[in-house]
Amino acid sequence: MKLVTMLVLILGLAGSAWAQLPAGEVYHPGELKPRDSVLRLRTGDKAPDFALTDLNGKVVRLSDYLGKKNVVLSFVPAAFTPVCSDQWPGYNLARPLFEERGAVLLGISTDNRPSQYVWVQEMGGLWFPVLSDFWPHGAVASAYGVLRNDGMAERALFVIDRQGVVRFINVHDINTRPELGGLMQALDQLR
Amino acid sequence: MIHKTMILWALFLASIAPVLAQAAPSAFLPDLELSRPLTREQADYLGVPKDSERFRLSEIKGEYLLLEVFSMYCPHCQREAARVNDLFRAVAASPYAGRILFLGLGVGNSAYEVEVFRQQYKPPFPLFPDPDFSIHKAIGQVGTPYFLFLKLPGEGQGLPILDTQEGGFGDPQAFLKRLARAGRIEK
Repeated sequence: MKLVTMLVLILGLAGSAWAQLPAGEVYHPGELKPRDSVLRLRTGDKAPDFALTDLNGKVVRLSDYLGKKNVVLSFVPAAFTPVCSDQWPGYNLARPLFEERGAVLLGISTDNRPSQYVWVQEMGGLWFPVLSDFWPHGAVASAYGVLRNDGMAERALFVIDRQGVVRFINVHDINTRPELGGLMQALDQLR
Repeated sequence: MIHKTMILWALFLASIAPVLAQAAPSAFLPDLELSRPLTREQADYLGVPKDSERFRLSEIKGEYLLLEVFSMYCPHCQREAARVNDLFRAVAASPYAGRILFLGLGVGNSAYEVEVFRQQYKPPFPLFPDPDFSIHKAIGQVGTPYFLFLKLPGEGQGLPILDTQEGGFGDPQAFLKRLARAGRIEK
């Protein structure tokens, strides 16, 4: 009887440990300074071209889309952080909205490619290219004026038309998600 | 030996205390006020006047309310959406039809974003936006998806919370049975 009691208690202790596994797969950075960079572009400027690698190692250039598609650049601060980990999956739902406006979406963060790869898998996959601005670290984010002093990119959206001109900029509070309707309105202006 | 057993019991109880605390939800949900234009079908479903710009949960004409807290951006909510629709259909085909109503709350979502979710997944029940998270805070800032099974019309302290579920609920029929037990709903 005493042996049974001991076994039950030991299993209970082990079981309760299992019950307290972390609830999520993200790192909570706490409240950050809403904005920590100086924008280098204005609407009407030519968007700086860039060449970044996607998750498959393929080089993606902004100029690939010149004359073909409107481009939405979505900079996010970091993989495995709360707002980022739901902003991009939300854009999965919005894919038809981008496509019917003749737009492609390019996701950019300063994480390295392996981190981005695992993160995207955990989010369940994304329909748009995810580009690593890891090395030279944050060079593209810096060119756009959205590199923070801690090496992360701002949470920023740029809409670039088929002529390569910046038509909309939203450098958002890093702690909150930019509203989708505003982005779609900006794309509607390009129709 | 008795001393060691008592120590082990004490450790056991201390270790499961947080689990037990998680399993015990608040007893009542505040009687939340919701506002958005309602279609005639939505107003009829909830039993509230179509031209009312605002209403409280307690005004919904039903016996029970399953409130889903979701976000358009939440991949788990996206994956669960079809199952929630299956649950709705399971209720409609059950003896509880018309007694358990559904309502979705898009936390941190604008009306536009809630509409994107609705267009994609076509839930057969009303969805409401909570763009500034004010309702989310009143609920307790729960993760998404989160389900609250509530007794209508509520009492002075709010709506009794009969059951809660964080994350997916698995098989819709099994979850319906669980809700029926929680509400002690007779067929």
